[in-house]
Parts: sequence; structure tokens; C-alpha cells
Amino acid sequence: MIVYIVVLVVYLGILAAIGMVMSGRSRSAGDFAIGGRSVGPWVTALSFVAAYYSSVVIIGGGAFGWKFGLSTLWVGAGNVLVGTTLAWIVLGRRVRRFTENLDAMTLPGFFSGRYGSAEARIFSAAATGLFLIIYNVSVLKGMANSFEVLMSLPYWAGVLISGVVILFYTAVGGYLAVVWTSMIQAIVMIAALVLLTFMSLQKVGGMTALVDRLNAVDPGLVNTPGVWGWAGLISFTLIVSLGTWGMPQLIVRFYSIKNDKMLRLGTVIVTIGASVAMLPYLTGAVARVLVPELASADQAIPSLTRLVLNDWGGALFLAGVVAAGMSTFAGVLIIISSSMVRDVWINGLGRTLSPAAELKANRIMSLAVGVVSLLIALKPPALVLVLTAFSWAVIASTNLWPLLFGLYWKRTSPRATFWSMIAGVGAALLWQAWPHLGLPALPGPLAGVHGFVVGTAVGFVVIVVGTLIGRPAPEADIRRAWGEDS
Amino acid sequence: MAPFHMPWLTFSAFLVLAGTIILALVWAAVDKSRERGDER
Repeated sequence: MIVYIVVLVVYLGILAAIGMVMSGRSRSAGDFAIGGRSVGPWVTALSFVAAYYSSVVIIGGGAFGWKFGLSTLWVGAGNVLVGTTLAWIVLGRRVRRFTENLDAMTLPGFFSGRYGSAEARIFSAAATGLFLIIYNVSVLKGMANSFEVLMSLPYWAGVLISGVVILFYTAVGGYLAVVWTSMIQAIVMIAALVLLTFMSLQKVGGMTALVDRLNAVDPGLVNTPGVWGWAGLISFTLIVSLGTWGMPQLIVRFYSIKNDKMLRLGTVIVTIGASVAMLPYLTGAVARVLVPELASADQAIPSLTRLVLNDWGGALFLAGVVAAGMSTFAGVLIIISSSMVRDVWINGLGRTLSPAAELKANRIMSLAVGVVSLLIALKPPALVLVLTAFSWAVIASTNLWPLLFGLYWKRTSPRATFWSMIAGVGAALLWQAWPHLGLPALPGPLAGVHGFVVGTAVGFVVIVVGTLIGRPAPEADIRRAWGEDS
Repeated sequence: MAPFHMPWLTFSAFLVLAGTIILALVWAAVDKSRERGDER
């Protein structure tokens, strides 16, 4: 126990110190929200990895590996190819240029500038803000559960320890504190996952022995799609991979990189760093062999950790899980606070704030949103727990097509964009809620399809058809976004 | 049978990962050479 406490106190102390150091460099709302567009490729890339993989991915990914076996490696491969490398190649440069041309600091701000659409800005800010808070509750819950299992701390203590440290460094240091702490958190997370994978593979007798032993339990744990089935495997891979293209806490990394030439090195670094996505699924499959009897699949990774790592290794792994959660939580806090202040308060309600007042408002808003998330996470209502499963689907369905089409198709209609958001979110929510509404059950393979797939398919049709029959954005907005107005 | 006694379809996840790293390296190199071409 002493080892765990020492490692965590040192680790959390370093994060708080970074917050203090960065507080001096956050002098404006632009510094607070996007670090004054001054962040280098290493910090951008590694903080992207840390924000992408939360504690939910590590603990939840392990649970999927334990339940469904090696076919889940495809989820990790999808995270790297689609969720990371293609996202950087397809979105990175254009997001960096367009947001600078439009002077946009948030995703709703980009929609407003690109399409001249106040409705799209407000809907995106509201849907994203609400569901990111819900997502944050699940991230906090994941961290607190790890403290519970690995340190035998009460759940509430885990929520408070992680929540208070994050609130401190985010409110004080802003975006720069978030990305610098995230870089350290990514390194800790990668080290922890590599250590756990190496030790657990050694314990099981190597990769070939793992496959043979899983095969003996159930060949469906080795085959693809195996016991999961194609519908579940493909739709889950899509939501956690293509879904990132609409997640503002990840897209903002492109706004803040110093210049678009740095995206080249960043793309290589982020691809290599993101490769650890395979490891939670692989170690989850190892856990199926080494700890086959579990009350819940969520215990797979913590139980494996206790089995194969000593106290120092376990403490490093706990720090890694907490790191993954903290970086995601902090990234989300910055996004919500800057969006509420800039998109809702200033541009939506037409209030004027001086630069100093806007910076102060951002700090207060990030504290307020963090405290609300923390209070909900202490005793999450049943509805919030149900909604956490919808959060990625709703946020991605809102933002994915309006962002992608806004970057590549000049003609994209503002009205079609707005209705694509509404239709996408509506379809995703309806699909996910279907089993709870007492309606006739969906036929076999369809039942395994995630609402994200349905939401994005509907959103795609609406934005394409609506654009073909509707009017494009005002010419001046298009020229400004493409940097053709000078 | 693929390495480690895995079915090829499952093992291909590792091949996709390796291919993705190569894709990132090739894209960065092509992008750099395209920029040099533009500067000339």
C-alpha cells in the first residue's frame, strides 16, 4: 500500500506543478482554449493519444478482450488506422488552416464561421456539452473503480482524489497545462500497458500458448468475428474509431499545433504511440486464460494486474489508468468551458467580455463543469449510466459530417448541416433506446448494430441530399474559410 | 495457419497495424517532397 501511495503522490504532485507553471503562460482566452496555437508535434501527438484512450478504454477494452477474445484486436487496429492516422491525414491540415482563417477556437465556432449558421453552432455546443459531461462521469467512474480494486479505497475517495487534482491544473493552467500533463500521462499509460502485456504474456507462456489455451476454452475466442459476431465487432470498431473524427477534445489538437508542417512528424509519432490500443484487448484475452472466473468482465484487467505485477508494477499501472482518465477528463473540461463561454455566452447571447474577463470566465466555467461532473459521478443516477453508452454516438453523430463536409465540399448547405445534426442524433438516440421502449425487437443481426452507425448513416444522407437541393453558405464565409479573401 | 497458431483473419489485425505505421511514414515523406517541389 505504501508503494501505491508514494507513486501516486509523486505523480499527482508533478501534474499539479505543471498546472502552476503553465498558469503564467495562459494570458488570454486563446491561450486557455487552444494554447495560443503554439504547441509542438511531440506534445500534440502524445496528448492526442492520452485524450483518445481513457480509463474506460483500458478497463473496458480489457473487458471486451476477456469476453470476446482475440477478434477484439481489430478494434485496436481500427483505433490506430481510422481513429488516429487517417484522422490526422484527412482532417489535420485543413482543420488547422480553416480554424485559423476563421479565428475559431471551438468546433461550434468553426461551424458558425464556416456555415454562417447560428443554429448549427448552438445545437453542436448544447449536444456536445451535455453529452461530454455525461462522458466525463463515466471516465471519473472508471478511475474511481480502479482505486477501489487496486488500493481498496472507497469509491468516493477515488472520485475526489482524481477529480480535485484535474480541476486544479485545468482551471489554473488551461489548455497548455492539459496538453503537457497529457503528454506525461501518455508516457505513463504506454509504459504501464507495455509492462502489463509483457508480464502477462510471460505468465501465460507466450503468444502461441495463449492462442492454444484460448482455443481450448472456446475456438470462438480465437476466430474473427468469433463469439462477438460481425455486427457487434464492426459497429463497435466504427464508433470508437471513426467516432473520433467528431470528438472535439481530439479535433482541438489540430487547432493548437504550431503550424501545419508539424503535422507530418506528429502523424508518425501519434501512429506509433496509438499502437498501444491493441494491448488492452490482448491482455483482456490473456486474463480470460489466467483469471477465468470473474464476477464481471470489468474486473479482468485489475485482477490480471494483481496476479502478474508486484507492488511497484501495480502502482505504475494504477498511475497509467488514472493518467488515461485524467487526460481525457481535463481535455473535455477545456472544450466545454471554452464552448460555453465563447459559443453560448459571447456569440450566442451577444455579451461582450474583455480578454481578461473571458479568461476568468473560462477558468470559472471549467471549475463549475468539473464540480458538476464530480458531484454526478459520486452517485451517478441510473439514467446517466444508461446515457454514457450513448455519449460517443451522440457527439460523433452531431459533429462528424458537418466537420468533414465543411472542410472538403464548398457547396455544403448550412441548413442541410443543421438538419444532418438533428437527424443523426435523433436516429442514434432512437436506435439505442429502442430495446427500452417496449417496441418489437429488432431482427437478429440488426440488434447488434450500434446507434452510432445508424446515426451517421442518416446524417450522411441528410447532409448530401440537403446540400444537393439546398443553398450553399454565403460566398464570403466560404472564401474566408479557404483563405481566399485577401 | 498464421504465426502463433492464429487464424489469418485474426492475425491480419497485426498486419493492419504494421501497414498503418508504414502509411504514416510514406505520407510524411510524400508530403515533405511535395512541399519541396512547391518551393522550387
